[in-house]
Amino acid sequence: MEKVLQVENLRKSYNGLTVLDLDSLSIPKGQITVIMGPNGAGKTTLIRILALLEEPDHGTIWLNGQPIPEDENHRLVLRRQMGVIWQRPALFAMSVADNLGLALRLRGWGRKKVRTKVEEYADMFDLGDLLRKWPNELSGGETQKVSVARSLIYEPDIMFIDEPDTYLDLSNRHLVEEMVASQVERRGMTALMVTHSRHQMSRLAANLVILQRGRLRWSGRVDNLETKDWDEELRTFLGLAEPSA
Amino acid sequence: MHYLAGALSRAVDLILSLDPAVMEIAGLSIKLAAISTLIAAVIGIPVGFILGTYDFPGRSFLASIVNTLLSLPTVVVGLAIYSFISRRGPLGRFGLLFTPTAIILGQAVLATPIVTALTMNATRSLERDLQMTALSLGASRVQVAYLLLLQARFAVLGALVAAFGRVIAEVGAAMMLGGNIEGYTRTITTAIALETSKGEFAFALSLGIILLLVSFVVNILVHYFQQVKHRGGVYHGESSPSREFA
Repeated sequence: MEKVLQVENLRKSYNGLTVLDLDSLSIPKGQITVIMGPNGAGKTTLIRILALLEEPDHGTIWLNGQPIPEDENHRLVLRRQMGVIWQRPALFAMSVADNLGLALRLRGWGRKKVRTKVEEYADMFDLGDLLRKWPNELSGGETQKVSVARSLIYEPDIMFIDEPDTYLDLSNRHLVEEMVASQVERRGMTALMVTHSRHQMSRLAANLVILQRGRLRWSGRVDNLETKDWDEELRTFLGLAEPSA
Repeated sequence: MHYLAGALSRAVDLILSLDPAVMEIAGLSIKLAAISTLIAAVIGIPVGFILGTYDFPGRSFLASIVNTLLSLPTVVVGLAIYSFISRRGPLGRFGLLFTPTAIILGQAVLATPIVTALTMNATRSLERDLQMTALSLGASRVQVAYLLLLQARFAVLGALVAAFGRVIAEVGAAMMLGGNIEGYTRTITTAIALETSKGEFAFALSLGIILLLVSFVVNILVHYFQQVKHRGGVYHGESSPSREFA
């Protein structure tokens, strides 16, 4: 399996407290990988580092087999191939339509092209009625839906998703999952998703990464999770039944 | 009482008839205040933005200096600049004293800390989430700065209006630096002081009414910008349907 991201000896600490300490981890290309782990496992920090938004204290990251360059212009090119859906959606003080088209405008797209694309995605996400509204006129669910559409609209190669469900109701959860999954299927996007929901994991994930206190506890494919050789702690964490004697 | 009413009615007449002397003074005041606010914007917005968004050693020290400068007494500013531009001062050879330029200089010194401090506070209160979001959407460093400033634009506009309101209403610097020369450096406030002392009560009152009207408009604008500045941002309320943003 081709790897899109690989890390080695990755360390990150805040105020002397180590939050991430990974010897080695790789993320397969064109699939959905789910990251799970209890609070404080370093999941969000890992996403920030892999999305090139934060520097690790130590360690190497390879993107498509190439080490991440130091040069900011180079990094910008790479960052523009990535997207992040945050747990707490943040919209800018502009209309929903302008928020949706923002990433495209940052990439220098023309007005017409932006508008066509915005309309296409507004349709897909059922946001047509909201296009002229401002963020303060939206509910939490609508805000998150706009933020998801805003990140998918420029069709990144890698999408990082940090617990997107917090503000979504059930039907919108499914809509967002469907949109992410369809981009994975349709154009081979890689998705790296943090979730606390085992159901969401089993619905979506091809691969699973389990972090605990900043360290890698387990990683691998998710097929036949039940039959794997888990220790007691992980078995409880994943909510799996005791192995039958 | 009769005297007051009479003066008031003549003052209103002066305004409604667009009396040339009144209009000239009001026009000059607004022009000078606008120019000095513009200068304050050019200096204060970038400096306030840097103090608000970036963390560097000495930042909080600089921030507290800016906050202290907010309450600069206008006569002290007048005095300080006077000592620079008076004929024996270091800038004396430019002949700036008792010119409109001198007033602009003094007013810009008064307005710059206001614009800087309010811009600093506005950008400081932006959530780090917004910066991360901008970066994650593929913004370059410059684009991130632009987006953050865009996010704070209503608050920054409010800062400019507040600075304008402060300088158009000040009298100390205008009097000391401008010299209250008729048709040249006579502003609303210096004219009011002079005309009142001359007993031209109606004339002074008409200028006072104009100044009040300007302040009124300024306050409405500041209020408006404060209202709309929260039109974007990070969603906080998980379960509450109150559509609250910070």
